[in-house]
Amino acid sequence: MSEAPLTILLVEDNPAHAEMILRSLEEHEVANHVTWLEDGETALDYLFRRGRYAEPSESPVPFVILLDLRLPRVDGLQVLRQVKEHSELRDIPVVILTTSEAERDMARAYEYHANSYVVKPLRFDEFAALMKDFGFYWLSWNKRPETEVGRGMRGGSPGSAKAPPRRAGRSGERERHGEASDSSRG
Amino acid sequence: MLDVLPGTEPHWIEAYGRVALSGETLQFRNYARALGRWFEVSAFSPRHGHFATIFTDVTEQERGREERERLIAELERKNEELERFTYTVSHDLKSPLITVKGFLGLLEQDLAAAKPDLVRKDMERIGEAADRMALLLDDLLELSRVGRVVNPSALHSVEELVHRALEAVSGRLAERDVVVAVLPGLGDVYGDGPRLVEVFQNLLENAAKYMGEQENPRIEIGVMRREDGIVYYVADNGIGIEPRYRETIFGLFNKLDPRSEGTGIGLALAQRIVEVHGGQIWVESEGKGKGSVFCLRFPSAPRIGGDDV
Repeated sequence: MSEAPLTILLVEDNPAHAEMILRSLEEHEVANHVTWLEDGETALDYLFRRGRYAEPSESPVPFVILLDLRLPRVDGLQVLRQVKEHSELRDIPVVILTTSEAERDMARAYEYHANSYVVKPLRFDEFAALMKDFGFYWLSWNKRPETEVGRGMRGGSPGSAKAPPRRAGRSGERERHGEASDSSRG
Repeated sequence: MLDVLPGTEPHWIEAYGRVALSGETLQFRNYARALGRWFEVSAFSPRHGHFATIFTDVTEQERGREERERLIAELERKNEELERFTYTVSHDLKSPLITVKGFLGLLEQDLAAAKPDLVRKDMERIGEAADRMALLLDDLLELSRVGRVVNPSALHSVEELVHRALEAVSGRLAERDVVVAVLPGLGDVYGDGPRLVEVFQNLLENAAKYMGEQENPRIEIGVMRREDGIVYYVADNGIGIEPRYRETIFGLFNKLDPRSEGTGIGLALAQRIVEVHGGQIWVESEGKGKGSVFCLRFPSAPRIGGDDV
């Protein structure tokens, strides 16, 4: 039985920040598949399998969503709200990763049932440590019920969530869905 | 009663009658439309079956109250605007800072690992983030100047303003082979000339920028005489705007397409200038692929000055 990828869905409009996140995640080998989307609308298309993401194979259900707040088109809070209002998606942990320390944003994020709210650290060593902790916590330590989403019945390979979460190897792939793809490196 | 006060309306007679018969006093404020003044009206009954009434002119007081309420509402609006502004600025300036710090960290790693290609890329990212910060600061300064640094107001020919704007963006228009039609009969507008040129300049730039795959890009500038006044428009046949983004596109540093160049200040700047002139700006579009029509309305009476800062 082939293991389904431990997908992290990263929604981040700033390419440089995305690169920092991807590099830090890669370094600690926590995920073997990161899908990076650059705006809220595309994230909703992916999660709700619309448009170019209509094919389940194009849009595996993520294990965790790493979501920025200030996004073009549809902002992060709207994405969060729609995910948490959807019976099949609401179990997916959503971690808000933002520059905003505004009380209002935190309050609204939790009101919409964010699972965690993290402010991007200025110091890079902290940033890297955060990404490592984030990966291990949500992909290894955190447990979720084996719901339809967890089992990947909407298109992922059945039984994938039963396989114990594990560290992904270096062979892990990462991909970026966007209009352009210019900054892949490493 | 009608002998003393002819033309008194029935509800007054009824109210005073009740005072005369019940002995209750009555007090209320009333706007006398015919006189254009506010009165505090007191009625009491000095003797059963009689009533006396005192009218006190409280027009100044009422106007003061209205003015106060208007100012409070205005202040609340400004305050909200300021809060939004601070929020945007702190977020948008912090972002490149995180990039700089982050890539300094990566740079250190890549230097230690002797990866020259990555070192070069890290430095590029740092440079880009610093440039972006400079750009954001310039744009903010520009925005803060609107309404603060005011050129003398005068009556300007809209056609002339448009032509000045066209000159300023000629490069970009030529790049995309945009055909521009300026329709006649644009008339005049009162305000700060250079700022009004900026409005048209930003709208033209925006139209040229979002032409998409249009093979025959075209911009039309004209005027519509609608029931509620004169509306100038800058219409294009570009990619258009979905109805749900009609408001957000005017937000500071908001961009629908994160890949498009610029910081996303153009429309915010245009809106600010138009608002300082007491006017309105909005967009009409039938949706994606249907082109956009940016509309401008200015008040008929001159209104621009330091009080709008």
